[in-house]
Amino acid sequence: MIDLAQLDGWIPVRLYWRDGQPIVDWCYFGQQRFTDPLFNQTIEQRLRLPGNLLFRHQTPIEILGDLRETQHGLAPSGFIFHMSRCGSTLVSQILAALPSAIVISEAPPIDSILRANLRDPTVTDDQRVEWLRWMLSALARPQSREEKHFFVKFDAWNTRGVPLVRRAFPDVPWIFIYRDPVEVLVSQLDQRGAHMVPGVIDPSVFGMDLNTAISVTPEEYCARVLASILEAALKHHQGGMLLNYTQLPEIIWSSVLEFFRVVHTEAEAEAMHHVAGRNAKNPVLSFESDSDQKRREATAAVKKAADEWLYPLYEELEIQRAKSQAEPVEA
Amino acid sequence: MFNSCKLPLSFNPQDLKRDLDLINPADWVAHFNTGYYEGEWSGVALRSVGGVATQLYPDPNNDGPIADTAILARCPNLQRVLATFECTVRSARLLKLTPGSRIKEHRDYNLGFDDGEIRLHVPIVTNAGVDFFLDGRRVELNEGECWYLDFNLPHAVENRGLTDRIHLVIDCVVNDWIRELLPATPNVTEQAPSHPTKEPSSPSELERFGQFVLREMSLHQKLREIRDQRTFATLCVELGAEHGFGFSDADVEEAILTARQEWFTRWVE
Repeated sequence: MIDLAQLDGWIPVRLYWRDGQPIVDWCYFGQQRFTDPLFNQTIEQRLRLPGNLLFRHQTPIEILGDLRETQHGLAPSGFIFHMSRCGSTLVSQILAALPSAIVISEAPPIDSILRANLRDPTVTDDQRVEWLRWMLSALARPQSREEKHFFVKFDAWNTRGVPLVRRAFPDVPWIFIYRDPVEVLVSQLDQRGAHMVPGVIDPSVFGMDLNTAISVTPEEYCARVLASILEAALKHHQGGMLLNYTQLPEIIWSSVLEFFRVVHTEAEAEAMHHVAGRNAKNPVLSFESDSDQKRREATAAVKKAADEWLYPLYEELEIQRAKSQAEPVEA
Repeated sequence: MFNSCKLPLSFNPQDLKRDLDLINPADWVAHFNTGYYEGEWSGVALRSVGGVATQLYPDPNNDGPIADTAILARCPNLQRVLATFECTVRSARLLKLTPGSRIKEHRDYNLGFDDGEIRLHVPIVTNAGVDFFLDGRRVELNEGECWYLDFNLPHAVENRGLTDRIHLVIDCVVNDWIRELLPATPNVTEQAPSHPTKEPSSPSELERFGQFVLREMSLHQKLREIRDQRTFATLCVELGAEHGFGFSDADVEEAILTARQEWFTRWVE
């Protein structure tokens, strides 16, 4: 049995199955913070150190439960769900500019828990709720008294898991970010996310069977994946805040920070604004809305797929967003 | 430490086979880990928690007193064998693998010498068609011999013969008596290498060292921030030797390559 003190400064980086049991793969982090746009980018940096690569604790998932009892992580301050390629990274990067915030973006161990029931059909919802609480707690252990806020940006397809996440954390404010479907499709077809390659993620996650997944065009596959995400958002958005890409970045200052109850100083506000000026995924470039460019790039196939699968859902989301923004948002 | 070692103890297999005849076919319980094997793998407990004959594995929820089972009570020769061990025997079982059956490669846990509890095998019935592999190497275990094997390492068994393979398997708590039966660990200062590259290759030693590093925070601290792979490998070999683990720079470099590859292919199941 591992002594929990040995996990000080260690972060869970992966969840996998061995002999039918879920095992956590840990990596030593020390004082490092998650400031890269994506969780995996930070992990990959850590794993460049041969010692970190070779010497990694592997523990049964139950250790996370024990850890949570002795060293409870920060309670989550806010969750970010999104449809991908819609400015969600900008939001998470702005929050990560706060020294008081721990921001975890698209962390595979969280995704593994949300999809654990597909990996092992005997895993119950109760079990996933418990594991999710354990995992988030482990990721949110503060390194200093300064760290007070904890944000999680989920993978796009985890939008289908909103009900479970809300069951685990009923009081955590959450947002769903989306964007004009043609613009997202163009971005995906240009540079495919892993989940857009048929079969990388079980197509049943997106409501497709394997045969369909491998026989439709890339445009249609991507559109159907996105449609399943938008459908989930429409179905479960009550209580969350809907955000359109077009509202970024201003809505962060005007609504999101307050919605997430973020406390910050003047200097921190400046740091956040500074990040807003940079391109989120490629901080060397500055952030500019590229909607026009994306629309120009759209092929007939893209437009057709968007019309067939996505616009009706998008329009409905816009209606819902308008409705909710006409009334005060419930905190 | 070593992977396997034949102890200077031997037993009369004929006596033990006579005892086997006293055991009912119905007493043999199929092994619980059905994902691990093909064919028939079964066992009988001779000493277990609570003295339950069908208890083939330690029940994690039951830490009761360890006791001999009713089956052992009927087997005088097996009793004599167990009495030979001047250490705490936490479990004793007979394990049978029938002809044509095989146990797939797997590892057990907490059964290496450093864990304080070891598993010994005394083959009672075996044949030339039995292949036992430990860490990729075939080890021949003959009737009446007594073997220490490091089951933390990957191991597999296949019975390609025409008769059963039955072993007496004993889990012992390491004490001085056990230590005296095993080859001495190399004296630290004499064995410290001046040319690290001359260390013999032992990937399993490196793995053991890795487990050790994870337990020793001061050691981990020395190794974790090193960027350069060569420097890291050399320091591992040095620190490894200091603590009784013998492996080479090449083992470290190989392990790094494998780990990197495993990380990149982790999506593939």
